[in-house]
Amino acid sequence: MWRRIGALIQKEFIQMRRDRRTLAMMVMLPVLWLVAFGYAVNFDIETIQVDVVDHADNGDSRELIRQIRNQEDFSLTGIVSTTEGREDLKQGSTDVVITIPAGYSGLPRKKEETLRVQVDGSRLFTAQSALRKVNEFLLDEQKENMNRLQDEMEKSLQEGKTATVDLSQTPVWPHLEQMMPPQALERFQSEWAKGMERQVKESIEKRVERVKEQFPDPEQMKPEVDVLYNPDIRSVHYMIPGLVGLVLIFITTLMTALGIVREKERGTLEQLVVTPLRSFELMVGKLIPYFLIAVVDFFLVFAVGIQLFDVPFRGEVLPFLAVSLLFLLGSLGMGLLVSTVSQNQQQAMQLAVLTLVPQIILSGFIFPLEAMPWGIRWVSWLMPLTYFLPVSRDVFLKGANPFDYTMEVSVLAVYAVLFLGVAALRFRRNLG
Amino acid sequence: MIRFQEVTRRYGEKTALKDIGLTLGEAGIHGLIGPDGAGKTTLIKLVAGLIHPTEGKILREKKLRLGYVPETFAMYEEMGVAENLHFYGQLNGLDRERRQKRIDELLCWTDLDRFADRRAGSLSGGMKQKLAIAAAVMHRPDLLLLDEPTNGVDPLSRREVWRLIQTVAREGTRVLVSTQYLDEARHCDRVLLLHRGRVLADEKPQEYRQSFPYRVWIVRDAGGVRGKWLSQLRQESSVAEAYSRGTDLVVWSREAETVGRMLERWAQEEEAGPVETGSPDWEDVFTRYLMEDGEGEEKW
Repeated sequence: MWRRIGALIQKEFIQMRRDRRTLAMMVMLPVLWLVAFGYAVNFDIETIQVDVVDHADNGDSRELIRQIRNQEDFSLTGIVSTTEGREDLKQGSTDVVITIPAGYSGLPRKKEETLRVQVDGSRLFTAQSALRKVNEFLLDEQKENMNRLQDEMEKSLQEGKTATVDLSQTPVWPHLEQMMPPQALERFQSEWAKGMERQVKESIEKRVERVKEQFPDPEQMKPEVDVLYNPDIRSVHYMIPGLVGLVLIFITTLMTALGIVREKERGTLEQLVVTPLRSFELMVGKLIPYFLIAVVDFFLVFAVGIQLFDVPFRGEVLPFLAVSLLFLLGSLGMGLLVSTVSQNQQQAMQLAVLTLVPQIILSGFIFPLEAMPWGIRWVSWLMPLTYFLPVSRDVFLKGANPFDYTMEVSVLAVYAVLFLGVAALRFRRNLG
Repeated sequence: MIRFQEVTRRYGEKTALKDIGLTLGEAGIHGLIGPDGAGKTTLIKLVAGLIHPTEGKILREKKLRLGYVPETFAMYEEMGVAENLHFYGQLNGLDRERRQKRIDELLCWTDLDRFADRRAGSLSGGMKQKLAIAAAVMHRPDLLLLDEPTNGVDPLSRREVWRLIQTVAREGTRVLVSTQYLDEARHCDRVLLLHRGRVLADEKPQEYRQSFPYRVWIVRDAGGVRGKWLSQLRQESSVAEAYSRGTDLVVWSREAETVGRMLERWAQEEEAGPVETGSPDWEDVFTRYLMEDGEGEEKW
């Protein structure tokens, strides 16, 4: 039995080596996707183009513009009029228009003094990035302004701290002049004034302290945000673990389906059926090469993802590989199933794409499941990729143990058995 | 031996074979002849076990080792000639030594030894068929099934393909081969005539000729008078059939003398001819069965 399966596997590898188109598809496709998803499909906008409309034209507004100019994330495209700003947004030559109202003073006291920010919502990811960055910047600005305000208040209060007490103005003074010799009076006067001045100073200091206590600490105004597992919130860290799953399911399903249908189309499958090769051996002999290719692709995406894109892998490789293989078996089954219902490669390709493309969109690979309406989420839950993605992401980024994901791993196992089982039955029946 | 018992095979509404009862697999070459759509491929696929009867039963001797050459070229085109042979040898359980020996032998038989490393896809039509046959007989099967192996092959290569089939048959492999070329019946030890899913006859070639009930007249180079003569002959009650074959005119009749005299007279008058009497060729033989099957107008 193994000699026949071995012959089949050897034959598959000879064919792959000679058929450059297929080989390119098997190896280039994962690399291409890596580049595409790693570099191109990036929701993070590095630099936001900013237009400023300055109605205030005062020291504070100029200071704000200076800060914008100094900001690395921002590129100031121009100080423009309201109409120009609107036009720039429409043309797409700017991402954000910040309008500084007349009478702006850093810390607005009324509605008219509030800054106005306009973003282009038609460019979704840019708008989201821009909003995040502008909010962060303005929060920093506010903190600075609060700091300044606090300093100013302190300064003005400090100015009142040095009081000079003139005792000659007190009503008791004429009596004291009559009662005391001048030298003693002078000493008494100096001591008394000092005491009085100390008391006034202390009382002012207490009041300053009280005011300072009541005044918010600008340093504490910004919440302490602690982003775990992907501190820089980089898209590529989110994408690569998902891409491992996508490459596995895509390559495996497509290759298996095409590989088997090609034999059918060329008539070689009939030739094989007439030999002593049993349908089980034929199936195993066809699946093993694609299984091996998929494992190579898995390591390729895994290694390149970690090396090239600095995606951390915090979990353990072996348990992750075990779950990935389970997922892989399901994908092989899907490919085999597609091949049993297709008469030619074109049909197989169409059917495979029909089952795979919804998985890219609906599995949570790009768009979060939580954002989908219930009706569609049900469709997502029928897809194997939906169960592999959270495991993959959490193993990569959180260092989770994949076997803690009992539900996901069980569903993947059920899919593997179901797809392979049904496909094997159909395959056997098709061969007569 | 393979026995068909009342076998019917349908594809949806269409009946490809109907109530076939026959025995296949005698020693030698068993030809399966019929026009397109006669059911030849269906019959061969049933024998190969690639499809199953809709009705009836096929009894096969146990452990019958088959070789199968489908109608379209079905070798791995990216692989070399020897690689293909090695692969089928491996699948059929031949160890390395026996495989190599057999490959050398087959490459010699097929004259493909110079092309052992050439990719199967880049071979010519005739060479492809020879490779397919070689792959199918790597394991010296008991029965070799060939589905129209000479279809689309040039006349010279056709001869080579038949020579190879005959070599295989001499080695002891029983052969069932289908063809739509009537003249190829001469290579067969037995010929099964299939038409519209039914067996019209299954006899030895000489039996077909012996049982031919008419005398055959041939007017050579009938040329311009063919059309006129054909319409006249078809009205004669003594003429069973008249048709043109190339530039000749062929006439069948049970009343040989009457028709012969008439044709010679016409030939003298119209300066056509000569008029000869001949033995029926395969076209005559099969046309007779088709006529008897109520398909007199249908020709190959």
